[in-house]
Amino acid sequence: MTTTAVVDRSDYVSAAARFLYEEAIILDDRRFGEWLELFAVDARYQMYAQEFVGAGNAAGRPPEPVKQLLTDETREFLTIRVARLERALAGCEIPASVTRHLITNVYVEDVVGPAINVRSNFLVFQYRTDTHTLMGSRRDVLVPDPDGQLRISRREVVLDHGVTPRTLTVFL
Amino acid sequence: MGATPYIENGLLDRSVFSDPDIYRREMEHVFGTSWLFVAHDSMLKNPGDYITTWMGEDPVIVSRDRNNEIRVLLNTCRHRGNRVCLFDRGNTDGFICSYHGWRYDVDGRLASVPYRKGAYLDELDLSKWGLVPAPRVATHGGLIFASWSQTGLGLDATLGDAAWYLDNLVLDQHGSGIDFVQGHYGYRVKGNWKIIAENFAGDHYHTGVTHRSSFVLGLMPSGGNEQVQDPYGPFEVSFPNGHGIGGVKTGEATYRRDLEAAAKVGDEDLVRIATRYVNDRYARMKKAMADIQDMPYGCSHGTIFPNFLFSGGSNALRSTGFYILHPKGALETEVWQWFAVDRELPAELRELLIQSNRSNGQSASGLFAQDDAENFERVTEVSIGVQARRVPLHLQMTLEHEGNWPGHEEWRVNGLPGLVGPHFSEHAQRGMYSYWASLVGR
Repeated sequence: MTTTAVVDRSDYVSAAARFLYEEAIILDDRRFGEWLELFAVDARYQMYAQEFVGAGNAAGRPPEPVKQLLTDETREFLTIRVARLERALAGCEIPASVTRHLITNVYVEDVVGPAINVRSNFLVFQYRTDTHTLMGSRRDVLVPDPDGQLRISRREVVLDHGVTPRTLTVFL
Repeated sequence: MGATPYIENGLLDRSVFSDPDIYRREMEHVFGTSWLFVAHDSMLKNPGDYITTWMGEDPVIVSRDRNNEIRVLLNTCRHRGNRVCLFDRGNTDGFICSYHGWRYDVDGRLASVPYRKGAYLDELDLSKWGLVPAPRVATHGGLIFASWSQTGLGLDATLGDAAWYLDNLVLDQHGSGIDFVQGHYGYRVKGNWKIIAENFAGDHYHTGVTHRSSFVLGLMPSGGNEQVQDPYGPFEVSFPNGHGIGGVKTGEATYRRDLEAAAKVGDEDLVRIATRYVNDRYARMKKAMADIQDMPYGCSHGTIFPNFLFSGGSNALRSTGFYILHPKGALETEVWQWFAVDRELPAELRELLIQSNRSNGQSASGLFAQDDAENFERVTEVSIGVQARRVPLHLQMTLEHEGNWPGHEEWRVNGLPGLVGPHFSEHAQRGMYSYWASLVGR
């Protein structure tokens, strides 16, 4: 039985925002084991960057930047990324980066059955030997598990960069 | 200060990573004269296709014109110097400058200027004001190179024996070649381009330490970093003209490992497809290298001097990563990356092979690149300091044994071209810096 049609959309917005803000705290606290738990077992994690592709000189709108797939991962691979950090195997994160995940513009695009399709923007600040900022947007599909806890079943991160200021050693 | 050579007796003057004067000279004498990789055939399939890139700090357009000729054109308007193309790639019938509207054909000819009669009284000779072409453009196995030097060695002579490894192990010339996956992506490293180039040219030594996580977590097969050199490699190979290719393995161990990997690739159908591909590819290689007694099965990294790098190619079930190092001043480099796969690779395996490179390879999202970049940045940053700069860097590993390596009688390297050395050695890096120093003149 589904009751989504009669539930006020603002409930979904606040549930999604609460979830994403809590995730940001978990990441900035470096509780990566807990972060993994936020993903469904069959979760898919994709990341894109930007490329400017020209479409010739015919009159019309200028072409939009094109998304280039950077990576397409499973929770299993995210587990490897986390193990690398937690077991002090990655020299690039020793010492660990200080991060600040700012999540804004949380917008519920659609609710399909139990799945909340939510868009948000992020600005992630990273300080280690140097300071950098990464900007972009996310599209998440949040689905409640049998206990009613929301989990990320799909995440699409779109970086607003064609060339990133550094390699991507922090989670987005 | 006497003019001691930048590299001598295996000691490297580390000002080569940060001195602005040296940077200016290498822009002129290395990037201004060398054959530089600019594109691959598969990026420019149709007339009008182009990509934009850099040769040193000069922006260029690489295009396929209407007569199917590849053109490498300085991306700057002849009138007031604006860039005429700001897209990364595309297809077009010409390039129009956004400043005053000079319009160039895909082959670089100036096709028209606005108000030709009113502004130039019909006296402007369009034929004299086309985009400036690189004087020499040449291809090898689908790789397109260009040089700003009118004279000097041709591309094939410059590649020398490195071409043999490229053809057989990287470009799959025993089959129908490779395809670059469309689209490129880049990241910045606050490091000098040479520390990256030397790493790919021959630094097997760092692998087990810098990339430890990939071995400990089972992403890469362990082995190859043993104290004692395995007679079947990996070997690091140095070539004249600054190139280095490493991780070369002979014998059948990697082939057998590929078969094991193929057996675990997915369902029954996929396993059959992967196994057949591994076997077909091996048969092709054996045919192409029939005259080589100790045929290599793969290599894992290389630098084609100065700034064209690759990783992968060590086994059948990996895509190859190709990289250009675009210097942005002595202290910063923009790394551009593409992935490429064998044209004979079954479509079912394509995504799988590319993804392993995205997540674990030299992509910004890849673990290898993340580990490496930090080291490159610190090496460069420290080289700025007045005191640190006075202390040369140690590149003496195997120096005393170069060409007469201990235990080399046991090695299975008969027929391999180039200066073949052990996996723990810095001969390829010394070779690269020596050649570089000969170009910059110290």
